[in-house]
Amino acid sequence: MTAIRNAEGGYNVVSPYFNTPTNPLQDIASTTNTSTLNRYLANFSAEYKLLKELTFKVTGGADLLNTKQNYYAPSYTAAPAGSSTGFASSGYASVGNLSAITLLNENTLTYQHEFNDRHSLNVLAGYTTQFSKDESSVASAQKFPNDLTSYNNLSFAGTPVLGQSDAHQSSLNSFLARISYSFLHKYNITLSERADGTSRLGANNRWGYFPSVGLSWNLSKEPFLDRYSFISNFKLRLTAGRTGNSEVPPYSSLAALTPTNYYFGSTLVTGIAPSQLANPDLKWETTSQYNAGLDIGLFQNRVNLTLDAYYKKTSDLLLYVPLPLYTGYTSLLKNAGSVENKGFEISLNTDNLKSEKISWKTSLVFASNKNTILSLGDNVQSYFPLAPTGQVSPVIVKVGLPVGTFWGYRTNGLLTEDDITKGTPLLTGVPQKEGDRKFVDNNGNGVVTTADKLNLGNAQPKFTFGFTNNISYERFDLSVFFQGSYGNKIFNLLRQKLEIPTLSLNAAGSLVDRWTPDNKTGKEPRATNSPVPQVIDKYVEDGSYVKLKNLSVGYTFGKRTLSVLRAKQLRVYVSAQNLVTWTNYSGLDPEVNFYDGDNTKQGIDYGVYPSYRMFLAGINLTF
Amino acid sequence: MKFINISTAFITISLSCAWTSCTKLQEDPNAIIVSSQFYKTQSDALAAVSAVYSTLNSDPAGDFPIYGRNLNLLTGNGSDDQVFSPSNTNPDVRALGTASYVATNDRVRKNWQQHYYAISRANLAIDNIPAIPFDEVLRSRLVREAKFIRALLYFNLVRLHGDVPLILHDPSTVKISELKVPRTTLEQVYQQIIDDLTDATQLPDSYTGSDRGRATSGAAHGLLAKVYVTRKDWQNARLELEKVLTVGIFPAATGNYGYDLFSNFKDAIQKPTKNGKEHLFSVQFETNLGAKNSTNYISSLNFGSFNPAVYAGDLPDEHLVAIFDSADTRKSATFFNKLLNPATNQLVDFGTVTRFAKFIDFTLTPLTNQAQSGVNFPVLRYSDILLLYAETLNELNGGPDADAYAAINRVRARAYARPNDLSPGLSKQEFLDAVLLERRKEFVQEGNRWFDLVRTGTLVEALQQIPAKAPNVSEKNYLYPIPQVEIDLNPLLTQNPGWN
Repeated sequence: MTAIRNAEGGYNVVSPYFNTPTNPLQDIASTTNTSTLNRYLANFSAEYKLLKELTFKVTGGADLLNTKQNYYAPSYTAAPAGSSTGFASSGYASVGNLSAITLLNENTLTYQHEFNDRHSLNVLAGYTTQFSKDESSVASAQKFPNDLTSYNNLSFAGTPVLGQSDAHQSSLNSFLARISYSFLHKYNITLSERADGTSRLGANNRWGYFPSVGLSWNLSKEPFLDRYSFISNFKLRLTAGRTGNSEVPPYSSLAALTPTNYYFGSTLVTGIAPSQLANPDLKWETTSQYNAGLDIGLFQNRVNLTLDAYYKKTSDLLLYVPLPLYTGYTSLLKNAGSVENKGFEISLNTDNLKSEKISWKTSLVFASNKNTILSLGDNVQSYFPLAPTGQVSPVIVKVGLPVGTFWGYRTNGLLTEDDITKGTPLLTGVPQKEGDRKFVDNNGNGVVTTADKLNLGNAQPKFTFGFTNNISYERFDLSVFFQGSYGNKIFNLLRQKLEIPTLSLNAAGSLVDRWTPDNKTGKEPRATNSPVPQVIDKYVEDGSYVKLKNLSVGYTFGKRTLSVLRAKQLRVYVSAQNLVTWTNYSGLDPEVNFYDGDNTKQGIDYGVYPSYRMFLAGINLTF
Repeated sequence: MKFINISTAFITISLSCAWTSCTKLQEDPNAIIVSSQFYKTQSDALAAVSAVYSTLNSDPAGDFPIYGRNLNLLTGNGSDDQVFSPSNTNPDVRALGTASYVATNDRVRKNWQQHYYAISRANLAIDNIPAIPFDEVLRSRLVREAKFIRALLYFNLVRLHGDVPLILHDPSTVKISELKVPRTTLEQVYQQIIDDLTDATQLPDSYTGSDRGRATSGAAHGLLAKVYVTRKDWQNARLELEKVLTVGIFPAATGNYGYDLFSNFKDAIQKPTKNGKEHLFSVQFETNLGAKNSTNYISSLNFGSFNPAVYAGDLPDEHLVAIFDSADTRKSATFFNKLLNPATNQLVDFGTVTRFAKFIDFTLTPLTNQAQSGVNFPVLRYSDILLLYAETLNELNGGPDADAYAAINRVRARAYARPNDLSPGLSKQEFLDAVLLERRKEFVQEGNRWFDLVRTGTLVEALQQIPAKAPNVSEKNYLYPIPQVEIDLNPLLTQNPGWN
């Protein structure tokens, strides 16, 4: 153990566990890492009535983004991670910038026609185009004689580092057409079709076609409901349609080659070789969706109920499918398999109290979804997403199971001396002894192998809900918002990592109560030289929670105060976010998803910055 | 007013790009090259082959390169030369140092992945370069260089894992079911290695200037000899070795490459003497040239601090240190307990735990900046050829002849900086033991020990001498497991015995 600070209050920089005389806290305190962002948004739109009922509309939008990043690690820091730390390179500076532009142009023609007070027709045709482009560059340098210029002047450096720059662009063009017809504003039908073409997908399959049809019947306008005067709105909706997704990075379908370096005769040469396989057939991920819904409003819409039931099938999923490593590639972006989602959503909004002095409104949203992988294509039944260095993937992607299913061993405490003599099944490949974890031989063949791994639950909740109450009494107002999730599991990877004994890294306090010859009742396995992190039931935890997401109290001042201030309105308020969480989850925050960008690795907690509790006090003043 | 707005919208768009270039869907990337643009010119061919070499000294993800420690974790930490270091925080690295690794071991997987990544680049070069129109001599040379490296990598794989999938072309399909192949038999893989190396023997004898470090004819003959020794094909091993051994040294030697031992053992590894007369093939590392992800971690993890409390990433087993006598110059070139700090001119005492010195780049300032090591990794040195010759003759003749003695004694004389002949009259087994002991002393951290123990069937007994490994070692350790992820993805791949 080495203390962070020495007796004089300075940093201790020598530790038996680190190669470099640095201090982690000092690293954080003395490293400069800033980024500034400028963003300009501009939108234009114009409408022109070509004929009385025919309107041409053009919109144009531009989104310009510029960011600048500055980084400096002085010579006494072990930052940044890697071999070029400030220490190793005697000061490391880096400046980078990114500029991105997105342009959007939409052109639509709308024809609106009503006749005989009975028929209403709306026809729309349009063409839209979107273009995005970004350019970035990074320059770095090492070996600074002192830290005075920081990142501001790289020419003070003794050693340049090869600069980097990058550029991408992509386009999305769409043709759209929609016809809506309504008879007596009671029977409505909408037909639509859109064709989307994206540069990001394979050359053979850039265009996707997405039709939809919607029917609705406004029963509250039917005479036979007239006598139920408490029904203010009653609408039945049916829709069926297809939507597409092409959100992949530009150039994903191309056989991209990237540079590397080597030395011949002590000179640097550039090598060029592929970094990904081409997939010219890469196409749109398509979702076919069927939805039935009911809108009910009662008592002059003081009670509003919306019910929806849906079935969605997403086919040709855009997935990074792992490749056998002997191909020379680790993964390939391709359309693989299909997933179904079915479920229902209920939302209920009520005005419980409504008077001069007091008002109380409630909103309840309830959703339940069931997700199942239907196929993975190419006769693949299951695979494990690639896990980072030193880890085994806790999730499996397997036909018949939901996405985000945890796959591992059941365990049953620790191996006792008795277990060993009795010949309890042991995990193969590892020399197991008394005090090691006892794995369950699921298939009963006398040994524990990877074939004994099983479904340990999944990250999909059985249901989620939100519950909001807005109450106002005279000039006071109160808003309370609860949010919850039930039945989802979390794989606590951080806890697994911290419960691996090492000689030199921080570890969980639970390891104190581990098996030793003197503590045979210890809960954690004995410490070994080379612990193998296994995916086990212990780290799959219930992630259900209820959170008081938002609570706010406000007071609106009356006319007297306003006239003194010459203001139109004045409200003061205090609010708190994430005030209370009720959960059995042992990690920091049950609202966790470490691998945000990867759908196949849901519900993994590998140390995410938790949602913070925030208190706000504010004044709204309008003149 | 309305029309003004419309034109503003169009002007904004036309400012940034012409209408057609914004809306076209064809991708013309500016920042990457696609394969249809490549493999067209001589410089493309050169770059394609440089990319093959770069797989040896770099890893795209910044991990340890194959010859910048990763292979050494299997061949060094997996042997009786090294034990785990207390600073090994990766349990998979530590598992290799305690012979308790399993099929999911991340280092075993990474090494496999890196080898096949490299092989795929070699395959691309071998398949694409012949169709590029340029100087035919250079064109065949480049293909042969790629074949040399492909053979070297398959030779590693087949010795580490046994039967392995023999992949000779880039995938022509993205259908995963068609990418699933079974393991190819050892015989077939070796045949391919021998074919590639035989072709590579037509490489140039040497290079000059900024081509130094490329594969040569002598390197191909030398590696071929090592393949035959591993196969116990002593007759062919002898033929190949005699093509490499410099003419005049042995009656049968015909080599015209001018190979010889440096007079000072330390020069065999140091930066100023790189790509010298003793080096048949080395993986190149350099200082401060800014190559991406190319770090000789054997240097930086052997030494990084003058603080004696800091453990090195790799540590020798004490038995290894003990086999050197103090008159052997290899001892001080290979290990240190005390090290001069040039900045303070102070001799720093690191205590009783001996550390590796061999790959420290002594030209660096500060000396602790070993991440910039320019020390090459010697894949094949002339002393290896001499010792293989001694061993081969011993096997062929049922015991050592004069040439076998002469070969080993050359290595010993250089090590002791004076003649230090092996006692005469040794039996075949005694002489073999002497050769293996000499190899062990000569090639510490040079990736030979595990292979030598395996091919002589002495791995288990050797590892049983190491307390941290003894309880875990068994016959299964003669092969590394096929990485579990590969079997999970492709059930056609069977696991090696004992690793299920």
